[in-house]
Amino acid sequence: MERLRSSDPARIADHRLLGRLGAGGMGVVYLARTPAGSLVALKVLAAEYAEDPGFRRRFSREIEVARRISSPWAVPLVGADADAEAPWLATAYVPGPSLAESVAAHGPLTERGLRVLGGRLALALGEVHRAGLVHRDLKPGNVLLAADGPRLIDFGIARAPEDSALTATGLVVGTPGYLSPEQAEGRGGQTIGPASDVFSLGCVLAFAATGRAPFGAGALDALLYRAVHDPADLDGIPPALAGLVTRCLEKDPAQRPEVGELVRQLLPGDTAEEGGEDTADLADAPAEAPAAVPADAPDDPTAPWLPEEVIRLIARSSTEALALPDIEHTEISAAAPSADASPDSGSEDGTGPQHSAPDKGRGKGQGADTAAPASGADDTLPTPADTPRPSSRRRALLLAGAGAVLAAGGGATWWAVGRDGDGSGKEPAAAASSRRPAYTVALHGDLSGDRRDTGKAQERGLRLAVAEFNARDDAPFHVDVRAVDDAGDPAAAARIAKELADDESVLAVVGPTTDTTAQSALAAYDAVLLPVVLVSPGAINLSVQGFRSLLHARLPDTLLPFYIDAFLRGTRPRKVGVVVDRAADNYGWEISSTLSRQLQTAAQPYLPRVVSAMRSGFGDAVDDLLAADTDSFAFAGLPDRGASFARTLRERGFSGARASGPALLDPLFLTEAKEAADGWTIVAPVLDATLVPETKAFADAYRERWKEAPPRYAVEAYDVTGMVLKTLADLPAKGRTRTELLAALRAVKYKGVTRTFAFQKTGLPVIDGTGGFLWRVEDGAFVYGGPAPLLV
Amino acid sequence: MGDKGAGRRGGWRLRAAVSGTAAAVLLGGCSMGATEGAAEPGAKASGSRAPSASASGEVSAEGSEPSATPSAAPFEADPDRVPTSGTRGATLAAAIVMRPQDWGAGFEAQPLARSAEGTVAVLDEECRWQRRALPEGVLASLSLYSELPGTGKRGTVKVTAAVTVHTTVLGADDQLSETLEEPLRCPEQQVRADERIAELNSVGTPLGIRGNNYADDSIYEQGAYLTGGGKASYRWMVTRLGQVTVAVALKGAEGYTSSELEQYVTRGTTTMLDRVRFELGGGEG
Repeated sequence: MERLRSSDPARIADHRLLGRLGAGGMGVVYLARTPAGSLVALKVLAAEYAEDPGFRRRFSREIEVARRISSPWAVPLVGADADAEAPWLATAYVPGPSLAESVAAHGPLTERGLRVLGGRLALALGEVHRAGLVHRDLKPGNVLLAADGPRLIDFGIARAPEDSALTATGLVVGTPGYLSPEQAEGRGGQTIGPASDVFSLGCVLAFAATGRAPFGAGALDALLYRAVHDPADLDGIPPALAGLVTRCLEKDPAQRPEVGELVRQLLPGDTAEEGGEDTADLADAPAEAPAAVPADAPDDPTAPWLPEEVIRLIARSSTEALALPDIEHTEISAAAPSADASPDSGSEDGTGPQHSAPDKGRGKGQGADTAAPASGADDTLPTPADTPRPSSRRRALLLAGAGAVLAAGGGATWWAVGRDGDGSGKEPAAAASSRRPAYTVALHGDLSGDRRDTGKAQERGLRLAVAEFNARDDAPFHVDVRAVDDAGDPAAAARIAKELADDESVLAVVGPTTDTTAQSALAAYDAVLLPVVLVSPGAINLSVQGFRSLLHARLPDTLLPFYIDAFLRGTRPRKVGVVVDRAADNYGWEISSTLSRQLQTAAQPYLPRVVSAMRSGFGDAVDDLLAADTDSFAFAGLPDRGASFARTLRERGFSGARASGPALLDPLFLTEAKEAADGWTIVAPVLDATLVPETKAFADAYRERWKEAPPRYAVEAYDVTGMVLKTLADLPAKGRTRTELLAALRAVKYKGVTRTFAFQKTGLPVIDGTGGFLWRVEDGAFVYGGPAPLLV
Repeated sequence: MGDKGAGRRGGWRLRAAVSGTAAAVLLGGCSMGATEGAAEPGAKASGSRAPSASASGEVSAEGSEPSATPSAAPFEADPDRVPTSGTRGATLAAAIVMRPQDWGAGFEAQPLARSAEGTVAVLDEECRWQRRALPEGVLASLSLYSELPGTGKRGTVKVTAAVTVHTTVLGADDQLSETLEEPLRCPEQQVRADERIAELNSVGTPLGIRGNNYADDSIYEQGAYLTGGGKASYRWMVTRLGQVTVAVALKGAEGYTSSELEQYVTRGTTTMLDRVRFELGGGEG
């Protein structure tokens, strides 16, 4: 147990806090003593979440759920106040380790231990299911071990299968590694039933038997993928139990055993326990235990079910609990006679509603903002001036149908943007469109968050390509645009992807904008084989997870260092310093590992230097590298710390070659580094459309349409949209489906204005030596330097 | 870089008889870097100010649990129990390090059972592992070499447990930075006269992302262990709690699956991390 911190209160609702048991995403769990003197685990919702009505609601649900569960194998709720300023709930304190901790430290359980564990957890789950709920987060960390059996904890995300109040479909909730395939796939609603908990129980048993999670350890998405697609790793499970565990882990929920059967199979002498919760049944069991029961049957109450070390650990924890500070005597008289520790309701209840009313009001405002993902895109859309300001819901619809709205209104410049300069035919185009079939191409982007410049550029590029297509006299169909904003939020991105996947008129998606949002959205697009073209995300990880509908249109970050290498060696350096910023995590590794490998292969002297996120500056790194005769630098990191690094180089008077990857092509780098940014060279997957002959027509049309020069990533989105539309138009009329379009795009060779697009099986672009472009910082601005050479 | 380049950090390095590291991210192909790193949102497309605002936070927030699980705050040692002398540092290292019997039934000490007192392993300028005297800032470093002798179709698995006690947290953090540097600098490394490690991949996972709730920082590496004509799999995991680093290096053998081998790495790491918590008292429950 951790000590209390100075920021922790001394007591909460008459509970004296004794220490910290843990801290999770939503709050802190304390060890506390009730007014009546019993020890409880007291969970408090963190202040920042308590302000949010959504979290408050969720917390009250957890309380409701916990109240409804009554099983000796589930930790009981002993007190709670959802309306308190800081909502809290208290459960009985179990002085044992979690199953996760126990197995990690003391190894797997015996067959007998597994039977006790599995049988009793199944009994607890039976209670949960009888209450009409699904636990949904059964995992080793949510099973505490007591001397007499396991205790199921944490009903934080339990809910009824038909209840969608808490989480939108498409959002994965739970803990990867122990999620059922139906959870991992983000299937929502009623598909997450009791069988989902049975799957998780199978995972927990496999873990307890082998010490390994049956779908391995590692990254979230890999685990989710394996849960859906891969067989479980069941090597080492006692043969007598292997069949049952295997059945729990069936991908098809209908094939899994019900909890009742699990209880019968795991606790064969214990059937009396199935309906009731009386532990006394255990004592009766041995007498009637059939011969088939193994010698170490779980119903021998005298034999320990846990490894001895764990029993000792529990005993030690229990003893320590006894030694914890006692309640203050002056408070005893105030304590309720029952051990229920129900909080003093007077003042709490009096202030609660008054507090919560304004909170809810504020929260609603926030909720409306996030519920209107398209709101940030207002200024990108010429909404008719006389339209009354629509509600957020309607605004989203307007955005979706913007093409049609504008066509009907005969927007003055909308149609006048053909690359061939054909500005005529507004009326015919509009009229023709109504007779033609219509398909939708969606833009999924960050239109209002940190990367909104990149997202909006893509939206405008896409709209331009669609407008041009619709304006063609020979266009075989009309194309609508649906633009949706995730504001850079991964949860919103997952939700939006599901919405677009469910909109059957959408045949292709351009976006999302960032690695993070792409990561959480791609599964939903994969599930319905909706082609999704990534224009700006760069993480190679996105392309190696087997997403079938992915088309990664830009060169991933891992490949751009080929150009950085060529540029740097072109300056004939003695030694290249490669500075890797750990604050950039994977991006830093993508850049630095390829670059190091290239330098090594070229026999170019170089020196890597990894800088920890705990280091606030780069002075030491720069000094060490300069002292080691480094005369040029590559930086593998992000713009904020990149600016700090650039300033350090400038302070040291360094003026040699300095190069970095696409992350530094960000205005933030310029504003933070100021004059220290000058002289840097950046390799990025985008060009400057105003300076390339092939993209000049696009740039002119863009300026005409949007009254500004095309920003970065606009022409790239325009280009891939053109690729999608051309490919779709080339399909026979009956074959214009997502699946056919996907197959055609995967095999496409499309010569766009920026480059030729073609894709590998993984969805990565075919590597043809193009796709990297040089940018240089001059006088505080990014200046385009043409296609990056691959050879020195 | 060697002594000169090492500069402020000094030239010490933790390393056992087996060693190696590598850079996480894969070129085109799919390897461990892909799966290990995938959940991490990492940099946004063209740069992000908050790379650690993890996508996986969405899920971990859901899983908050009222149980005695490690908190997301860095390890805080009890100042009274932190060693300040070499002697106490060596005692601490010896209390933490995995002994042969700790690995499980059948494990025994290798013929060379422990590292020379007062030394650490250092990857020199020629990418060869050498043992050198403890540099300033390192109180003690101890490696114990164990093995599970082969039987039948299974070869001999070799494991090394190493514990290094630094005087400061930042010093221990530097050790992990250097660990990440090594494969960038030396894609292939000489372990002994006729033993090399190659094809190295590594990924660093700080506390709070990609499910790391067990250590202040964690590096996982894998590659190939080359001996004469043979090739075995190679794993290395280095973790840090406060100013103590613990490492498990493993040389695989015929007849073992990856997950079986990784189980040993996990067992060694979690056991030693528990012992650090127990010995230094910070978050011990």
